[in-house]
Amino acid sequence: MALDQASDIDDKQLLAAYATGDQTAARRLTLLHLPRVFAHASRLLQDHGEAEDVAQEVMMKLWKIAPNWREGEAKISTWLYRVTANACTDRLRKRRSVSLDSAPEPIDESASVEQSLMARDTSRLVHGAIAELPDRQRDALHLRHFEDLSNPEIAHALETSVEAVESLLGRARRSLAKKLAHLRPAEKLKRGAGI
Amino acid sequence: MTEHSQLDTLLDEAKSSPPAAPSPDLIARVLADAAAMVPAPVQIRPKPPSLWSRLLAPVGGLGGGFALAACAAFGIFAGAGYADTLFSIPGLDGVLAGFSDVTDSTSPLETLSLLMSES
Repeated sequence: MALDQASDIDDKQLLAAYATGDQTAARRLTLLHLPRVFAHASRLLQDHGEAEDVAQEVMMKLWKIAPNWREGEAKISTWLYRVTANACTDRLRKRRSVSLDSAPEPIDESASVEQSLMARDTSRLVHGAIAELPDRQRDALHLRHFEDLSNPEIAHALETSVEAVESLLGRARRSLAKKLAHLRPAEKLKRGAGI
Repeated sequence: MTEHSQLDTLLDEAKSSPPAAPSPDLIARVLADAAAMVPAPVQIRPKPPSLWSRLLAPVGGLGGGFALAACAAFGIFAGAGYADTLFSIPGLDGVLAGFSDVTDSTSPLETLSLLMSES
């Protein structure tokens, strides 16, 4: 979902207009970017309520930075991806740091997978597996496969080199393939059965 | 089917699920935040006029005040220091003598005072 040059300039003009008190510009920016921010947060967190909180926080940061946004800075969309990914990372880390005592009892993964497939929840399982990847790998994979950003754009968003992005994507895909290995037979079975 | 394409198939499947859309309530909250955080336009409040400005306003402001003060000072200076020499102005005696028929005063100073009071 790479934005073209014109829309980026338009974004910056809208942000500048908002910084001078134009509420119409705020509305246009919200309608343009909130759906992407929310979808990104929702995919990463797999929790509607948390995704809403993150989306609101991220947009609030945009309003806050508006008067200080400088020409030549990153694209607004790229900045939003980065801030959203960081906010989601913080929340995912908090989830992981929940003590074992308060964590739910481990469940039989195969049963869980089967139930999920019955509910046609492949998407949720894939996103859950992605969420378990190391932060940088997860962000790179997300931006590549779900936001359709090019490797240079991902490098810009993650503030790293294109080579590092290629490496992150390679490792992410290998890890993901292992995590989702148990899905494949069921998936084939499901397709074979014409479900 | 290779491992690579199987993973891509799963990713494509996950991607094809419709992305979550923000609720109208979330949109309303974000817009409320935007309204609350909008940078206030810079307002230059006019400075209230000083006491001197208000006092001098009826005479035309500071310039008028200076002019009035200068005239008053010159009047005092001329009246106090040079009243006698006023009648040395060539021709003034003649002017005052012309009014002698309306006054019995013999002193030019008294005649001038009388004329000024009548006018």
